[in-house]
Amino acid sequence: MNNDETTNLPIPPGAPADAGDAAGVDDSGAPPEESRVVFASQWKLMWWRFRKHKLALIGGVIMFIFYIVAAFCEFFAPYDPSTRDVTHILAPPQTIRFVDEDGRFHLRPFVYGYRMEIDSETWRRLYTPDTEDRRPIVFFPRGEPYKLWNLIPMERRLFGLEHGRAYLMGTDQLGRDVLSRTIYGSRISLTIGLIGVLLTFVIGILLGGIAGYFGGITDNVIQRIIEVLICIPHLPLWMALSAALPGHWSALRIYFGITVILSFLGWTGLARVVRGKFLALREEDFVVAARLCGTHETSIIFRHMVPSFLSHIIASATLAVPGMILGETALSFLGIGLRPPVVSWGVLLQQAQNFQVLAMAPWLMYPGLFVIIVVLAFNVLGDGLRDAADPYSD
Amino acid sequence: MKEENIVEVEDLFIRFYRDEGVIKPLNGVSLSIPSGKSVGVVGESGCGKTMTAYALLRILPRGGEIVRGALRFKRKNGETIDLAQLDEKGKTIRQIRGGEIAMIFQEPMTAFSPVHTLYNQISEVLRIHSDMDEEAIRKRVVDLLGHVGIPDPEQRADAYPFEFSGGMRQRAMIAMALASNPRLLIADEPTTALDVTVQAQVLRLIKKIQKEFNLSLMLITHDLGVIAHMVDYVYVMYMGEVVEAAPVGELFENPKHPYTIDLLHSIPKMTGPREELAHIEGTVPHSAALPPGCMFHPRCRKRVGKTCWTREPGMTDLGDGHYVRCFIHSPAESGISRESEDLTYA
Amino acid sequence: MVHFILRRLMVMIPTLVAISMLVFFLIQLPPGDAITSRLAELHAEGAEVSEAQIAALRARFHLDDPMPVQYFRWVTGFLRGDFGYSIVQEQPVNVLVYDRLGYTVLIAISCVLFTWVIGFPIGFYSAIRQYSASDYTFTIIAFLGMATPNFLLALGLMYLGHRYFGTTIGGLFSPEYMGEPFSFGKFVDLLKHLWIPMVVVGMAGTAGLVRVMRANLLDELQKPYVVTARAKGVGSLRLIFKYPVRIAINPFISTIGWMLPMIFSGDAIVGVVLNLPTIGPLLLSSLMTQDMFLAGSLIMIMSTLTVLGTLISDLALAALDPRIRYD
Repeated sequence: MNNDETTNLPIPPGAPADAGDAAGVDDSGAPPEESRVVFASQWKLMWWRFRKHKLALIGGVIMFIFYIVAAFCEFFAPYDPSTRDVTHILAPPQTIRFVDEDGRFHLRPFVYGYRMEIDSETWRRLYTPDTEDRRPIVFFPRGEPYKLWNLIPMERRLFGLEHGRAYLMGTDQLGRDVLSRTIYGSRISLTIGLIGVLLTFVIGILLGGIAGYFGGITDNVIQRIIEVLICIPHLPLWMALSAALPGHWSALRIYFGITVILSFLGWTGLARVVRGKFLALREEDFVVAARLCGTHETSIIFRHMVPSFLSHIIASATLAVPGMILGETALSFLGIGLRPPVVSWGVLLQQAQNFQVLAMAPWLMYPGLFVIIVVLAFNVLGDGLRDAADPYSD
Repeated sequence: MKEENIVEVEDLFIRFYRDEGVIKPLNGVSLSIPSGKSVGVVGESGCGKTMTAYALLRILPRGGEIVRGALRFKRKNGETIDLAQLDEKGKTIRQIRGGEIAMIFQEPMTAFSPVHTLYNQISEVLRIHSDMDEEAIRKRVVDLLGHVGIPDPEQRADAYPFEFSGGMRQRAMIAMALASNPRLLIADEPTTALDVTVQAQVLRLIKKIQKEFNLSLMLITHDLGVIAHMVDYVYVMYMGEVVEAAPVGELFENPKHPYTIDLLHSIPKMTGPREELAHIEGTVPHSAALPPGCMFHPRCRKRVGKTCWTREPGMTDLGDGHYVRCFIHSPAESGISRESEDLTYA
Repeated sequence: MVHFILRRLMVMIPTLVAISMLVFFLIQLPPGDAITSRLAELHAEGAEVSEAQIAALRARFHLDDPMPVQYFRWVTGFLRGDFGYSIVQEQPVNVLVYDRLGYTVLIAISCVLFTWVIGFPIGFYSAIRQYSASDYTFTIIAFLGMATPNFLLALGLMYLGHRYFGTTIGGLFSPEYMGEPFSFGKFVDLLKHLWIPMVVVGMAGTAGLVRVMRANLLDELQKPYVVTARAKGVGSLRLIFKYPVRIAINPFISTIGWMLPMIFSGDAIVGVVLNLPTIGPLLLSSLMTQDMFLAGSLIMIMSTLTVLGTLISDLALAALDPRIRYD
């Protein structure tokens, strides 16, 4: 401890040690440059804050990967989702191996083929790995031709076997590859969340903005509508609405119908956020100042108000996506959402509803694992975005 | 420790270690408060006034550390202890908080819990620091509330804070501070959040109770006008340092530090010819990036040259209790080159 | 306080009216009406239905009255405790719902309690140990809980129960007590079964509550009144419980508002998976058979229960927070 009358302090980083000499200024001259505080833009500050949130960062990366897979699902899925392999009904998942039965290491991963016998009493198929039948996994093999996005004819897929078919996540009751179906399902399940949120976004911002900006009776009416909607349990209402979709509709129309139904209740949360922000910002000094300067109202809204809460809205929207995904999954699981032959995670899980089947083939629950991962990733991502959305707090 | 002092803060350094860097709110503050006297601490926001008070009570916000210095305090039993050495959660400091040093806060709106009655919150002090029975506590709280000028204290004691006006709430806060007969009262901007008309009443009340209870008072404010009528001695702080200290009359008549002079010039005058109000150029630098040399040099109108930003000025004794930290008033050689020691390890 | 209760009751009425209108609209939504689907069913069974019979049925259910009249008759029925008639099942809704309603409420209440009992201490601990290893662990578990669809959890539990214990999880009673009058033995049996739907339906809510409690408490811990209390010399543990926890608990009470809809949603799907004697599975089957009157009544009942639950939590909140009471 130094208890001198005067104190010595370390030179702050960046300050010139002997600024006068270094700058060639004499004793009576100007002082050295002030050490400046760096002013970063709002988005930059948000990024700095978001970056510290490791979980959210991981969530973002996972989401990115999932959407890439969903976008190119034809390429990533090893097989067509509707091809049946009647010789492999309810076959269990194969394990990817590097070491064979004799303990030899293989650089190229492989799976064992199946040996199948039928239980003479229960007539159940019993599958065991056939250690004689080593099947190496190959990357970018030629397979059945397919069309990417129904447009570009292609033959190669991400991986496959040299001979036979690989079922890394097993097969279902019709002998279809669960992995391929899950990958195809991601396209439907993930886009429904995204499109639903987009719709929600539009309705929410519009109604919330109107309520918050005009206030008074308009605000009151919209507020009451929101209150009524949140009193009704979502799933039952969704169920009733989607059960009302005409049975003769095409898969595509049902898809959009379900999306609209999901957004029909989802906008309330977002509208509340927007309204609250509008109400608070209306009184803020910078908005009042802009108004006093004679700035046009639309310009005040879009140049001053919206940018200041856009980040919050993005965070709220991100947090709304999982609700949509879970909603679709639940409806399809119950059999009143999307219907086969459309493949979504909920549709896949519907097979697991039958307990007898599930008891025999627990791998039918795998698509559920993907639901959990995606919802988890969205939640942490949204959480991180929300924390980062307010870079000036703390 | 000098006999007449109740508090001596010596060479106090506080650091916050944050992700974005080390924040340095206090950089060697030394000040003392004589028993039964009132002392003002003045400066712009962010100069470390409140931090000094929090350090005395050892209630620094999370992450704040006293890295150097002493906080000597004379207890009711005559014993002198260094508060800086105490365990922040220990029994001794808890006895001192509220029991021997009490504090009045700036925002009477938020400084009370909104869901507990005033009686509940004020009596808590007595429950902690005395062994009075319920009846005695009730009587004392009602007496105190009446004493600070709350009408109908018997009934109003059971009201919630939001049922009071700002001024009344601040009076209740004063009553709470007085509850256990503290020796030192710290008032942190006690009138800043109040209406101008109420400010004077509250200040008069603080002055009155200080005399009555023979309290030592540390009045923290950015308002020099408040200081003039309230205290005997003034410390002017800038960026976590005391830059000038003087008896109140001397400071107003004969300010020495360029910062003090600027501060005094920025008070509007009620009499005399109209003139443009002076202001201090620039803004207070961020306390994570302290300027080199004299902390005030980037904003100073009277800087003498290179010395000001290469060397740190020491305190110069001008006599009659007047001290100033400026090279104008001391030979440049007295300053200290700031190149040595890193306080992080102090 | 009396004034407050009256005002809240007044607000409730228009809400319920608006919900009933929305639900009535839902009932009318599918193409055709209840008779059409009943006829389709009868045709499928090979029964011949004459024009006269159809007309009689339509007249019996007043299907040819103007919409407002139909709505009015339907909604006033609720006031008399008449929830309508299930055309498909040919029974009054009251009869169909009677038992199920009790179990639904039972599950809802036990879920709320479970959520609080588990959510509160974990949220509290996470907040005062912010950024500690246990905080991170609980945060991850909470996120997992929120991300897992409850029906998947139910399926998982059923599978595990079957695989490792050889039992079938599901229902609220063992087979031997089904249809038996209520007895102590049956009650104990109920408790043995109740915990699974309670955990499954309550899990997402619990996870949400942990987050709410943590965020609220962290918010409150920074408030000036906490500094005041510290400056008074209040010990740290006592301080946290008396002030921030006391205030952070208020939004906790109001969570019933969003938890009840969530619980009913959960029941609607978990009830199907776990085969519970609650409203959920009945709703699904009514929707499958386009028995819209039954479905509408069920949604109306769930919404009314939600509104009532919200009212109760609002009143509890007012009792706890003077600012609301005196507002």
